[in-house]
Amino acid sequence: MFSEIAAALWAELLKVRRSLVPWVTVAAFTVAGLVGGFFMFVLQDPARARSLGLLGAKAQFAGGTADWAGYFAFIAQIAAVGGLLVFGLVIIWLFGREFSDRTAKDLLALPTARSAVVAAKLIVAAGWCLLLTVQLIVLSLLLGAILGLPGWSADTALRGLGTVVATTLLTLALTTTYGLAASIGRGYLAAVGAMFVSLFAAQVIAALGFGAWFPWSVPSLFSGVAGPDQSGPGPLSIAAVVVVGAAASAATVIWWEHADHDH
Amino acid sequence: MSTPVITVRDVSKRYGQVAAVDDVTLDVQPGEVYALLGLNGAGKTTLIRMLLGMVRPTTGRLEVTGQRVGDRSVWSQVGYLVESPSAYPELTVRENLEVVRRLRKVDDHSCVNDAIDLFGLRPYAGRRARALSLGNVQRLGLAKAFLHRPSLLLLDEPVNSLDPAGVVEVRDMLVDLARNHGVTVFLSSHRLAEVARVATRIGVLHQGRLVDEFDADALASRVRARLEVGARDIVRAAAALREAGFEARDSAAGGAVPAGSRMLVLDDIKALEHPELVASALVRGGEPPTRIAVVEEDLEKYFLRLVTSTVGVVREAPRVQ
Repeated sequence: MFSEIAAALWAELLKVRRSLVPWVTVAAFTVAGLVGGFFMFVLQDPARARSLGLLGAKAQFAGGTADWAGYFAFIAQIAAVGGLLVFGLVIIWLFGREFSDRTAKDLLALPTARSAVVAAKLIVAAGWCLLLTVQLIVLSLLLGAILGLPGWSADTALRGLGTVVATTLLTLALTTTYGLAASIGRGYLAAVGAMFVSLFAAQVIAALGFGAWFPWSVPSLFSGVAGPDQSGPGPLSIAAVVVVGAAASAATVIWWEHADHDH
Repeated sequence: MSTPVITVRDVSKRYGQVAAVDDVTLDVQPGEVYALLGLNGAGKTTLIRMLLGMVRPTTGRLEVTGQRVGDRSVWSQVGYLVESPSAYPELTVRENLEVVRRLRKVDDHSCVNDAIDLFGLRPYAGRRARALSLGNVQRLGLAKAFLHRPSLLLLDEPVNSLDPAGVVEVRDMLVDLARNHGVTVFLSSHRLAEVARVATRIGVLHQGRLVDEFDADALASRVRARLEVGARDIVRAAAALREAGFEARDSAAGGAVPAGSRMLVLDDIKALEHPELVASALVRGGEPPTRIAVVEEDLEKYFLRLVTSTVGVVREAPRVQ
C-alpha cells in the first residue's frame, strides 16, 4: 500500500508542479499577509486609522492591538477564514479536476488502489496548505519586524504561532468535506457551493453565539475572532472538527471505492 | 474449449425503471477481437464500465481473465479506453504516460518510449496534452491503454476522432495485436462497416439487450442482397419474368423512385444465384435487360434494420470451439 501511495503521490505532485493553481494560492496568502501587516501599520497610529474611515474601523474590530500578540491573533484569523477559502479551493481543485478533465476514469481500474489515490490527494492538500501557512508566518514575522511591533517574547511567539498552526490544522480537517463534495458532485461546482454555504453558515451561526456547536465555526473561534475576552471552543468542539475531517476522508475513500462511476 | 477472457452472465444494470443493460450473456475467447455494436445509448459503455469495475451490475456475474471483476490484481493485465480519451492538459505526452507507468506499477521505464513510438507520438512527446489535436489525444489514450502490454484491451469507440489514416493505423494495430501477440480485444462501436474490418466476432446491443451475436465471417450471409434489373418497358419485362417463374417487384411501387431510374427488384435466392437465367428470360420475352446487377445491402442499413426490427433476443447457436 505504501508503494501505491508513493506512486500516486508522485503523480499528484507532478500535476501540482505543472499547474498555475499553487501560484494563485501563494499570491492569495501573500496578499492576506500584506493586509495583516497593513492593519498593524494602521493600528500603530490611531490618527492614521481614523483618517482611513471604514478600513480603520475594521482594523480595530479585527485585530485589536498593534503588538505581537494582536498580530498573531490576526494571522490566526486569516488562517481560519482565508484558510477555509484557499485550502478549500486547493482540495476542490485536487479532486474536482479529475472530473472536469475527465481523467477520473483513468484512475479507477489500476493496480494502484483508488484509496491510495485519495490518500495521496489528501496528503498533498495537507502539505500544500501547511506550506502556505509557513509562508504566511514567515511573511508576517518579517512585516512585524519591519514595523517594529512591541510585545515580542518567546512565550508570546510560541503561543501565537501555536494558535496559527492549530487553526490551520482545524481548517484543514474541515476542508476534507469539500474534497468529498467535489467527488460526489463530480466537479468543482457542487464543492464550491458547499464551501461558500459552510463559510456563510459559520459566520452567521458564530454571530448568533452557537459557533461552538457548528464545526465550521470552530477554527474562527479558536483563532480568537470573538475577541480576547471570549473563551475559545471547548474540547468537544475541537473533537467534532476532528470527527468531521476523519468522517469526510473516510467517506471520500468509500465513495471512490464503491460508488457507480458511470459518468 | 479455452477459458474465456471475458465472461458476462445474465448481467443487468438498472437505474430506477431504466435498464441500461438488460440480461446480457456473452463470452470472449482469447485472441478474439469482439466488437460490441450498438447505437448511442444502447448500453455499450455501461457494459464496458461494468467489466472495468467502475459500475456495479444490478444482477449477474462478470469475470475478466478468469477472475471476478472487483479483484484489483486483474487490472495489471487489462488496458482500457472508456468514452472520449482524456489526459492531464498541463502535462506533456511523456509525463502523462509516465503517470500511467507509475500507477500501473511498471518497472520498465522503456515502456513509455515504446508506447510513444508505437502510436506515432514521437513528434509530440514533449508537447502538453492541451495543445494536442483530437486525433493525437486519441492516440495518447490508446498509448495509455497499451503502455503495460496488457493481454486484454477494453476499448470504447477506439477510432472516434481519428482521421482516416489514423483509423486504418489503429485497425491494423488491433488486428496485429490479436493475431500476432495473442491480445484479446473487446471494443465497442456504432459503426458496423468499421468493426466488420477488424472484428472476429460481433455482438449487437440494442436498448440494453444483446439482440444478435455472430462470427464476423457470417456477416456476409446476414446482409440482404437483391437483383436489380433495368428494362425499356418495365411492365412487359415483369410479365416476362413472371412467365419464367420469377417474382419481380417494381422499384417505383412506393412512389419515391424517379421515372428514369425505375427498375425491377428480385429478392429470391434463385434469381440472386443465377442472374443469367433472369437475363435469358427477359431476352426470350422480347425485353432484353438494359442493366442487371446484384446489389448487397449496405452494412449500416443492415445494422439499422436489425436494431429497429428486433423484438426479442435473436441469438445464433453457441459456437463449437
